[in-house]
Amino acid sequence: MSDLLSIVEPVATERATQGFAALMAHVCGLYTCGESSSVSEFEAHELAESALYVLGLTDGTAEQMIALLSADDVVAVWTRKRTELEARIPQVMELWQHVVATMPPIRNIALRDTLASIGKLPQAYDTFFAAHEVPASIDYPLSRSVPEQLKGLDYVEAWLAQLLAEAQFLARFDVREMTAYLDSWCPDYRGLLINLHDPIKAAWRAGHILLRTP
Amino acid sequence: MDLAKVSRVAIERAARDAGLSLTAGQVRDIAEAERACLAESRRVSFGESAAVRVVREFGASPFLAAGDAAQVVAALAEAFYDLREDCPAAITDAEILEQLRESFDGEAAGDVGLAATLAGESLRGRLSCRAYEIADDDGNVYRWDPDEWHDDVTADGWDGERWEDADE
Repeated sequence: MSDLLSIVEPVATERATQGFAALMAHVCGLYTCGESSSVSEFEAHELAESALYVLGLTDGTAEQMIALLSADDVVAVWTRKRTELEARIPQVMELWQHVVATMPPIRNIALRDTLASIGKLPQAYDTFFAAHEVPASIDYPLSRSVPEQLKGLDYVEAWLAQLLAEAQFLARFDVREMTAYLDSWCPDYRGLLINLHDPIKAAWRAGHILLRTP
Repeated sequence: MDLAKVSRVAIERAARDAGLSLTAGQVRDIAEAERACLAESRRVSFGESAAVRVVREFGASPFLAAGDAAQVVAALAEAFYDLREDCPAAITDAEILEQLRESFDGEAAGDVGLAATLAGESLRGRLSCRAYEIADDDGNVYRWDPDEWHDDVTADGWDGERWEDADE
């Protein structure tokens, strides 16, 4: 078996290499609008990261990469997967709307600006050349961080899911009581980069604030 | 994939098409020189290489003798990548090669260094005319002169809501 693999592997790797080269030539050609035959190393790296994210290979094993990049038409695979990625955007925006509707109106600039930034994701997300990047300015700190290895739309989706859980917790309390507690806990809670869920949860556990009566 | 072989084959084909006679050694030297240019300029070539385009563009130049073709083509490829680095993306590869050829065959009379300098000046001049220009959908072109652009313009005061003024 290992002898067979040692024969097959170089051929498979060669085919995958050619497939990846063809895909990169296509993506770089789009990037330069066909008006340049070269890009900087940095640009090539970013374009490759974007292409691999679209293909779902960011954390792929070597075997997965070889299998996908050995396809007869890797460009067609990338085109199809890019379309599938774009089709996920409305679902992410529905989640965003759910978060915005659920989050109690506690004034915090970082929270406000972060949600506003994510709201512009459909216009900002570049699935062609920067699919791996997070298309929003996310400053508000969550109670539990999203894994940093997540990229692009995956990161935004996980971030919103975590914020939704925090918003659903905060929605169980009276807004005036929460803001009164936050004022005493940190008078500048509106302007600072602080998470709102954690101090409210700690206050609730200590009996300083009670659940809203239904 | 033997990229070096692919590169040599492409250069040979371009030379044949341009009527330029190159030995196998010259082709190899050109390919290696271009790899060095790419590495030095930290660029990645994904389509037709600069060396191939130089051979095709300059093959019929009266200043490109078969004897020193390898050195001249390599120097032109290096000049191309230097100009590519200096010029923004708005300047296409074709424009750079066109300007380089014009200078090489014209005022520079076969001097690659002078041709690169003249081409660079011309391209920068072209860009400065283009950079601050925009056309609307009706074809009206709006231009403004960067020399008249003062940096002491202050922005309007921000009249957004301050958090301490928010009523709750």
